[in-house]
Amino acid sequence: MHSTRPFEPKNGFVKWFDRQLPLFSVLHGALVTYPTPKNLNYWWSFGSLAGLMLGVQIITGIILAMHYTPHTSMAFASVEHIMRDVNYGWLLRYVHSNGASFFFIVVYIHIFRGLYYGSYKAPRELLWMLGLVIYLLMMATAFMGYVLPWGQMSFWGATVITNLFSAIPFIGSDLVTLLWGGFSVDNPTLNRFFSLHYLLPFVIAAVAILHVWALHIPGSNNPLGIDVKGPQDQIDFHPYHTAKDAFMVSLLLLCFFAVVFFAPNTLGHPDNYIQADPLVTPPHIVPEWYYLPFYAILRSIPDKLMGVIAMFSAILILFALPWLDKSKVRSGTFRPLFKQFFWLLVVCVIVLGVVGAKPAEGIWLIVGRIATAYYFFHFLILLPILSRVEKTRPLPESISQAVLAKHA
Amino acid sequence: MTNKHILAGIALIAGVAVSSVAFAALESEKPVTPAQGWPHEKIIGAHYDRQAAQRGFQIYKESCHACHSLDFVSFRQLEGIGFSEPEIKAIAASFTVMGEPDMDTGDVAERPGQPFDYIPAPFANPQAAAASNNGAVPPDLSLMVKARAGGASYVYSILTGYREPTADDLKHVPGGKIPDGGHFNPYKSGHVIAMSPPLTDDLVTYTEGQPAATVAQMAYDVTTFLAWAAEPKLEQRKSMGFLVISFLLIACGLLFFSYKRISKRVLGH
Amino acid sequence: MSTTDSKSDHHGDGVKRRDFLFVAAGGFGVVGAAAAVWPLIDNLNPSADVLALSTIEVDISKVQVGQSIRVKWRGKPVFIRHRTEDEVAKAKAVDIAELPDPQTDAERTKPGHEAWLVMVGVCTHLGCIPLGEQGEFGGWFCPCHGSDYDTSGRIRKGPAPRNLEVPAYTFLDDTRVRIG
Repeated sequence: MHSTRPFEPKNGFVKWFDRQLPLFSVLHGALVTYPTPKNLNYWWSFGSLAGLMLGVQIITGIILAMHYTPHTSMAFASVEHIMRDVNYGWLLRYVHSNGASFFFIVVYIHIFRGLYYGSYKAPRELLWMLGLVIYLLMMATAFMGYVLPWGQMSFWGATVITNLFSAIPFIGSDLVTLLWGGFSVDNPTLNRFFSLHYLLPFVIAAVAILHVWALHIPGSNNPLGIDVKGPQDQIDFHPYHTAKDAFMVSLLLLCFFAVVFFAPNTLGHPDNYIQADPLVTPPHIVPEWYYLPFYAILRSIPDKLMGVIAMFSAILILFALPWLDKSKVRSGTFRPLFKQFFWLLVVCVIVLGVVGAKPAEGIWLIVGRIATAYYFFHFLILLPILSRVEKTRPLPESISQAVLAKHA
Repeated sequence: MTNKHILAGIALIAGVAVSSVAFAALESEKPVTPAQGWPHEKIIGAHYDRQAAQRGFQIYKESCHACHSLDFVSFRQLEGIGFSEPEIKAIAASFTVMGEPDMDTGDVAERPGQPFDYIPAPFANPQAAAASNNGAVPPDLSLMVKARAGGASYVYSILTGYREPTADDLKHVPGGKIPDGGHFNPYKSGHVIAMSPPLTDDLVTYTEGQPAATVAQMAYDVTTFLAWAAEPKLEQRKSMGFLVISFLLIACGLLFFSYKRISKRVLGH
Repeated sequence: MSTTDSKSDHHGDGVKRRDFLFVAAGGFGVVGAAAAVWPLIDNLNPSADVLALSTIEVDISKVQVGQSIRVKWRGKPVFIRHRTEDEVAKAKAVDIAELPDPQTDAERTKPGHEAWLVMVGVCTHLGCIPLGEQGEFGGWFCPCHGSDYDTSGRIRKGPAPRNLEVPAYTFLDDTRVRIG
């Protein structure tokens, strides 16, 4: 049962401080007495894990910036200086480069959890959209971070992605010149990317605070997707969720450090250990894995401008999701058809990811086009229809009743 | 979340993955791993074969260094493959590096290398390197092992993979014939490489008690050296990783049972 | 809460065992966090390339009597002065009892190489670089706050508290000095 007792500090300093600025009350409310549905499963820990990864990236990033030099003639060498000469530099760099991947893994799981259990629906539309803003900021931050080592993939990735903006009619090429600060990706580009790569994580942290704030107004959704009926359906965040999240943190760190220590370059591309050469393009330019599905969508459209629009739309339509899927039932558990199509969407996104890593030719182009078509069909046509025609299974009376039945 | 659907999804992904491997195989031959294996690629007890790496450095110095730079390796770092301090001083002194401007005249003269110097590049700039090598710049070798898919085995395969192309081989070569100044090598993408076969038996003279300097042995040695050059902190990384993973496994167990106990207390199950 | 507690006791979960589990888990957390902090601090220490340059060898064969050279060592200037006999005599004649930082000239030079003075050229007051052959005592004078050093680099007048620092150095032979 959720406790409703207010925050009563015993420590004199905390009492004095809290009276003037209720920081401790707020933290206590968020981390100790925050009422959560008592039926949350492990997938609900991934929000905390994402927060952890953001912290890891910011801390290691600040330190790496102390050793890195944002200049085209020295960037690559300064990364090698970090890898070879700085005490534990290799560890900090591998944690940071793989940390980006693990941040995305955690966030993708977090997003798909929200998709399956209908966490984007009222009264949590704003929470969902703030999450999408974080996701967009992460993509921008990770893209600019990948440019910093100034390897071949850094340079050509930056060239290809900034060139996307040249597809915009009339102002496209001027805009790209503005982005570059020159007539190609060069030192001014590297400098501004470094500046923004340092800035954006703090913006992400700020939006993440809003995200948590927006979560604490309606409270967490839950695997049944039904509303909390009263305190009997809830428990305090502490100690149950702190213990559960601590276990999940150790599990995440186990996977993370297994990669950092034993396969730190698996998720990277060998070409990025070749210093950037503006005169030689690598045979296959492949973005980091977390962009691959969107890269596949971009390439499956034959028209340049339409490809760019499709790629950005693939993310932007998620903002409209709360209004595309109008089913009153949140959780996929009680939506037999939705559930099947959800897994089809998961497969579709993975297929797009695989296609994005392949040359855009032959069978890959066809597979990519089918998957792209399904992606948009799923959100724009299927979900609105499903939410009207689907016959959902009966919902349980309450969370505590369902929990009782399960453990009877 | 029926198992049926998950299985169907996995099957689809597996199918895509398998076909992609088949596709890649047409491009170049899969690198071979030498019979000795790579002790540095082990998970537990990973280490660089120091004897091999020292012999490899000898090959680099006497042969590869004529064309290939090793920009990110300094003499002092050679401690990492077991050279002693006096040996490193002697090695450094056997190279000439550009000195600092003279106090009085400002002239810059060459001087013998010192441990803190980096291994000097054979050419002053890429243009000079290209001019001396049929227009192809010999790449820097500092990160070669990490800069190629296949890693150490790829470099080893390139070094040992030269052969006279058969008619069948030539089908894989763009244009069906080896261009002037090119050499057939099935492990290189496109199957044509600008570098002429760099190793021949007894190219270098190993000291007493070392194995015979066959092409395979030298390829193994120099690749071991280059693997170290690309990732000098590998031994430290993997041994620390072993500790960290062991620690986390225990922590995971403790935290899981703590969580279960708290769950029992709070939820009753 | 109390009801579930007694219930778990029925299942044989004694208080002691429960405490041990939580203490062990918490202990692992603390140890893990402490271990993670060390790389975050140690990276700020001098890196291997910086340490490699912390020893330098200087050729002093061209420095004539009455001349001095400056070399950069650990990012700071080191003065190497080939003193005249007069300067050495003046440095030795000083009554060390009247010095703010008492040190004989012999303590500041190497036996057999008394003509050579090797010092870090950083004023011990606030880190400016003193000017050579200037000031009342014919040694060094710091223009920032008027500290006066003698021909042995000892502080004689002004706000600096200590003599100019003599780094660890050795004569490899008569013409080469290793500093550091």
